[in-house]
Amino acid sequence: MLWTEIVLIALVAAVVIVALVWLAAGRIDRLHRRVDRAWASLHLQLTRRASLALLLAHSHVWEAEPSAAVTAAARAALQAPPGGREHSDLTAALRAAAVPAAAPTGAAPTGGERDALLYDMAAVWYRALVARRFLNDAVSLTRRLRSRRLVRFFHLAGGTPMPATCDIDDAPPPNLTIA
Amino acid sequence: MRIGLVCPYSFDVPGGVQFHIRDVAAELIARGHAVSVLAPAGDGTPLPPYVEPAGRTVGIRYNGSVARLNFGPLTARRARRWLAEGGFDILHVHEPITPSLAILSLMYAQCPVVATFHSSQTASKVLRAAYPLVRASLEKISGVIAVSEEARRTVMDHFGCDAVIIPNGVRVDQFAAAEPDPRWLGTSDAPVIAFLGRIDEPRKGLRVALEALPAVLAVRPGARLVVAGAGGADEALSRLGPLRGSVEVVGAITDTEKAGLLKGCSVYVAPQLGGESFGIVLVEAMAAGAPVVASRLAAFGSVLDDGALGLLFERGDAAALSRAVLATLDQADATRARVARASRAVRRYDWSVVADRVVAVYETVAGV
Repeated sequence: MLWTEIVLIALVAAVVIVALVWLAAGRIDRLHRRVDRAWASLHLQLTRRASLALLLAHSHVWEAEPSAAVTAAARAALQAPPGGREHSDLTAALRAAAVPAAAPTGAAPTGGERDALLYDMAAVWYRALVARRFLNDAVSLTRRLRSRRLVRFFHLAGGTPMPATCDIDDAPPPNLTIA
Repeated sequence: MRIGLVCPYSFDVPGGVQFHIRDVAAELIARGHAVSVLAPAGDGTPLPPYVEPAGRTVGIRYNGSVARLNFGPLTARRARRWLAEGGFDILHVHEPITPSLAILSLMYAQCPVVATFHSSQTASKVLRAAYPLVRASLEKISGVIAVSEEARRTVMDHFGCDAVIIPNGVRVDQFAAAEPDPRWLGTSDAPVIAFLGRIDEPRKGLRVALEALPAVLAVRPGARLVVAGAGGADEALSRLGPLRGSVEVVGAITDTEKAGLLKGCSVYVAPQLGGESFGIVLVEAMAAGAPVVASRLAAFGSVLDDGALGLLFERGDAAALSRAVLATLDQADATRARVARASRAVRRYDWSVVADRVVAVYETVAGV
């Protein structure tokens, strides 16, 4: 084999590897941004859910005791990061307080403020469920790509920590008709 | 919001996905969103004003049938221009793995992307081979919707991610306001029993309906079973024997005919043996005000509210089906009450409600 052939093969190999690395780096970067956006969206929906829980607790839906429990859990959730267990605690508090039956699905709220709050709560709860599913999808795709040898060898993920799924309890109370 | 919808199938030939997109688009526009649909269509096809034609299609053999798709440099340019001019907040691609407009618009997309999977087919070999090439584009999809549990399973098997299920909606008002078709108008002396579904597909349960018919005829000799559906009508007719005078096989019917049949019939039967993920015809029958008798499948039981909105019978049990049909015909007051409940309950499947979920997905993905 001539030395020119060896150089040529090495060059082609180098170009292929650079192209693969460049493509993988682009995918990693885009998936990281997708995960960030998904966390932001989930945080927004969970914050809205906590605010609505606080409003419900102040609208005389429950007796004093469950009202206080929901208020405390909602305040904690408002301060918590989106993956925090405070959100699971709020879910549990709302389930224990037994959310009253809301207006039927799809029907716009007819009556007073309470119905409007329950209607909004159902809408926000659905969005929180959707946001968490989309987040976990993005996380699992990212983790799979980052476990590939090419990505690990060239440190394509840089210093970004490995994303983790969000596993809070968000099973809705039985009476809340979700979307 | 500014929403761009991509339909990979041609508007020249109407089909399920095209109808779905048309109905979603109409509902979103009614809510004040700015909607544009990019779809293949020939020059002569009349299109709704919100559809942007992406050129003529080429027929391509795909999965045993001919799919009309389009691609090529001209289509690519149109897709890119449509995206640039649209300035969309959300791009919503339907059937994203079809090698055509769907993939092209995904490649160029800069905004958040939602995708809906309709089919529950397993991916073809061609598709599997092409998957590594389009994977980077598919990763742009931030939110996946499946129209049924089957479609969701397909997504999970092939793409390793989950999906939110949002079923097809029904235009309830259209069925409620339909005129009964005079050919199939049931009376108390000559009641019409309606069956809809592919004739040559055993799981649709036509056999059960035919076995149940003699017991119905013994009490109601004027009764007629109207069978509407594509596939093997001639063969079905030749096997009828003595029942021939009481069965009318009408083959495939249009949407208008379907609404007219459901509106005028005395009872709609759904004797399916399994494999149903939802039961959209049950919903359409309820919307048209037809009394429903259906086999006790999980999907049907939940649509019929465990029997409160229509009678359920044990799957495959012809004797139980004929009893349920006769009960529906004989007990007019109870039937009327069930139909009244059903026409109220069916509103939750109306596009106006289903679109709420679609908008919820848009807002979640856009982070607003």
